[in-house]
Amino acid sequence: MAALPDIKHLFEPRGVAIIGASHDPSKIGYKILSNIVASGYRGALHPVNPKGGEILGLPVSRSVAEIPGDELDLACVVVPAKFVFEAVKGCADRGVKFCMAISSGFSDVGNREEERKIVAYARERGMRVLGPNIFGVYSRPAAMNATFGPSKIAPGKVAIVTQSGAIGLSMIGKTAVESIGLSAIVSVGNKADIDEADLLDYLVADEGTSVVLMYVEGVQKGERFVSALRSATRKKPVVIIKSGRSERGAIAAASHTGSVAGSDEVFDDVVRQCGVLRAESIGEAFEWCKFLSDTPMPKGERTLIVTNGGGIGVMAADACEKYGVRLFDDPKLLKELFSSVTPEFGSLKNPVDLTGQATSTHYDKALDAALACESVDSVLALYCETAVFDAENLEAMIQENCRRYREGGKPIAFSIIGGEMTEKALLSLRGKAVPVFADVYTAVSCFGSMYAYHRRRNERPEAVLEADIDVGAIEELCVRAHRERRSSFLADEGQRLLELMGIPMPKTGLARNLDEAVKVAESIGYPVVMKVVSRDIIHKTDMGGVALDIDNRDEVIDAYRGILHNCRTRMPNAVIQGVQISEMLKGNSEFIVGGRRDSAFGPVVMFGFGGIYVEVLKDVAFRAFPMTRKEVMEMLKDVRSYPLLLGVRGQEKKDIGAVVDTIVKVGTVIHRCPSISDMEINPVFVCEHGSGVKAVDVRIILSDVTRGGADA
Amino acid sequence: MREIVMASVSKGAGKTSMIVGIGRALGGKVGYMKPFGDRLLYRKKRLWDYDSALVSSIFGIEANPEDVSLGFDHAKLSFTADAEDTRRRVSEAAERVGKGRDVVFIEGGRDMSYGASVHMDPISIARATGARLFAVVQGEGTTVLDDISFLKSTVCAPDVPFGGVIVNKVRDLVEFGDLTLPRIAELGVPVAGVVPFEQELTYLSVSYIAEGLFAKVITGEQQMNRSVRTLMIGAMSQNAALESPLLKKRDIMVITSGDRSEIILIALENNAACVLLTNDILPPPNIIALAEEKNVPLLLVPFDTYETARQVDSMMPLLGKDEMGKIELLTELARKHIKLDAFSG
Repeated sequence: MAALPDIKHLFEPRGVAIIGASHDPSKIGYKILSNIVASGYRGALHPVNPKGGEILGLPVSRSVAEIPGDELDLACVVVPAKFVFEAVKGCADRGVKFCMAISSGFSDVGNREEERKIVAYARERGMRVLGPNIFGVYSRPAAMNATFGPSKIAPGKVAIVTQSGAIGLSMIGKTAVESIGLSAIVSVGNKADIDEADLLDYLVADEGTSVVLMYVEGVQKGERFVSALRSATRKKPVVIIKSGRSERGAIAAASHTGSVAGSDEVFDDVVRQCGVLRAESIGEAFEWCKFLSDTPMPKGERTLIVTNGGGIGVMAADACEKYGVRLFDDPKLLKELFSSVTPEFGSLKNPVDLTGQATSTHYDKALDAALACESVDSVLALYCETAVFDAENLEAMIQENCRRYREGGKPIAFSIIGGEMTEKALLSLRGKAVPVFADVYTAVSCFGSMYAYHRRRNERPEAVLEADIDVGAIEELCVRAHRERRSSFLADEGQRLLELMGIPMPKTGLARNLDEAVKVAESIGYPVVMKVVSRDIIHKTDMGGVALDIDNRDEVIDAYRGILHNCRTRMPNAVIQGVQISEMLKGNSEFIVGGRRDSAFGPVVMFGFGGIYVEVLKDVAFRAFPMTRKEVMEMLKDVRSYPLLLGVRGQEKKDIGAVVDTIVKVGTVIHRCPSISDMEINPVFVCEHGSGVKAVDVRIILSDVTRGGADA
Repeated sequence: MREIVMASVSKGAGKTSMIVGIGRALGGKVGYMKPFGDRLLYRKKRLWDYDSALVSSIFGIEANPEDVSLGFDHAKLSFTADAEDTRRRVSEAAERVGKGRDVVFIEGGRDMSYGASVHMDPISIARATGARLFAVVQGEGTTVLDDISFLKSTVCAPDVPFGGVIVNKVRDLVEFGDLTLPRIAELGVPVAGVVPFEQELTYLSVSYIAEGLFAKVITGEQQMNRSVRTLMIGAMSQNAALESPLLKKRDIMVITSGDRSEIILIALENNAACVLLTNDILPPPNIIALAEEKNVPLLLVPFDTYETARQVDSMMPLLGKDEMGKIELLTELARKHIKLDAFSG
């Protein structure tokens, strides 16, 4: 296979061919060509159509082979689906580096085979494929609008990568209205070859891009995606909108581009882990992108609110709490800075209340003081229309302050509410890309996104953790299970796995008859727990296969017989190996640690509040693996029950370090043992600090036996 | 103190139900034991016989499980005691449970021969305790005559005080009285009662089903005593479900997968007694909230719908300790149809 080309040539091609260029202005093949011409593309442009002739003054080649010259980096294929393969073949044979397949009718309608064939042929010859089912690419560096969307795209600093053609095209129009300039817009469509991960490296390295916005419906090759995101978010803010949150949405997404949206909870946790800013809506995403692309990054997290109304100030403070924006809090300094501009009945706390008497002069003085103060890192200025304020100066005051703050390298945003004059000022200022908002929550959410990125950028990169585990020995256990056509481990295999992982279990023994049950129980010491052992019974409690808190010999006898009776009644065909007897651990610190190969993201770990009600309470958090220690700790804190680990109601603090180690071990197994698709330790009993954890029960599901090993 | 052995020729004839009804109709202090347990129940860390646990609960009997049931396993019993030991143990246990009681009911196993190899069949127990033996038979016409004829030839021996038969679950009392009763009289077997069939006694309660399946109760804890008269499997489309005649019946239990929101909604809107959710799938929170509002029990099980329906269908309609309606009905039936002086005299 030939070496694959640098993604740069997709965005900065030296020569572009349009396969299926049309003489008919109503056709896409004409529109794309005309957009490229209109955008001022300076490279060689080659329309291709078997009819030949001329389009827009350009000579038309009858085939790709006929195109003169050497530097043909990009081909745009705009032919019906049934002809795409031949077109791609021609391009690949010609040595084209990138092919944009505009045509639909592939995996979007269930035709995956044809799509695979196209990509395989292209890659074999060192060509990459974008799409199919896309609207094209816009690139500011190349001044190239190779889309069939609007002709005019305002250049700017926001790069958009979109999985939806319709949303992408409408985003072009919307960015123009919102005065958001684009550095690039790429439609990835079916993602048969090139996906978001491929594009991110280029976009974050591109000096003309300040923010990357992605619209995602489904994730494939998740491990690469996660890796690309983790790297990208340290250099530039990445904003993601993902649809397919709801069940209905997920079904709709699946039919749209042939991709299946993974669980939204997993997606949400994993992208936050990667430092992504996830927006709830297109509107929110645009606000963030616009703000982030034009606003200097703060030096710290001390935000000052300046207002002329107490109520709106309180709302802003509420919003700051919601969006994780920390407020500047030095009463002495506040008094020093603002007492001269605030009447006596105003407030010198944060928010600083200039009162309803404030004019533009008061704002100027207050904002000057805040700009000059090194202890203030960012400012949110609020304005409520009053009769006293010199409304004719509102726009100029805001614009001038924003200009000075930008020059001073300090973020500022305004939120203004009022009547006609205020609305007029708002409209005018937003048209000039000044950071002014009608809603204070929107303004604060932009600050929230800024600070989230600020923290990400300033994080010290840590090494990812991996446990030292005997993978070979674990795979051997899997081989035995596969040979017996089992899809899960037996109890003794689960125990052996935990031994290999260095995770202790309570003292335990297996009883195959009543006498053994009594002997084992008495050797362990009371109280004990008894559980049925059977390859056919995975949810033991549901089958009446578990007896807790067994205190003496008589109870052991009754429990043994009761367990067997219950299981044989409910699952008469189950093969029962015996009854496992373990020491009983008491207390409230039962958690769940799990790992699985997620269909979208690859190895994913889970931590949460455990026991038999985990599926009802769902107090769990997810992360992609591998991960850093910091990410593990954040995952723990995401769980509402985390305070139980810190010790509540006079209880001792638990061994959090051991919990971290357990999570890393489980993640390592999932990451490095392809034969295991799911692993769940539930409950993990967390002992007091320094005393470790004990795995009370473990469930292992193996990768598909019929494939004889790991999932693809 | 009167000792009564209650036996049956076939399983499910209604021994326990008769004991409950007669015991309550008689009034006074009732004792109970079932020497050879055959409905094993693991509860509160001990093994019980289901019937023993039930009757003990109804009559407020606080005896040791070891006195109420001497064992469950043939193998264990045959190793630990011979015929003489068994006789002695049964007799001593009967004395202990009977202390301070007006009448003690000793329940036999599923049929006349159950436990015979370990000397725990009803006849051996009657001999060991000197108790009067009654037999419960069920069925119609010739089946009853066969059972009673058999009893006459095996049970009616001088050393076994035979009190008579109770004919249970008779669908047509008039026809029975006209056609079968005279023939029983010809056999010379005393009839202590002829009890009619009552449909209500065949219904399962929601709590019984939940316990039997180890189901998780998601909502409707206060309505767990509701009876289930009809099962409806929610496997059809929404429209078909709405038109199903089953939906018009009272006290239906709808069995459906937890992700069939439309079927669950239909069940809730049509006042189902209970919805049994399969495949361990919880419905969306709004559906759970609606069930809570309507106080309809939602039960959750991990099995698929077929397996769940199969298990429910195979459940025997045993009496539950909280089913006061059924308990009252049995008492009333005993008062009306049983010759109570045969048990108290």
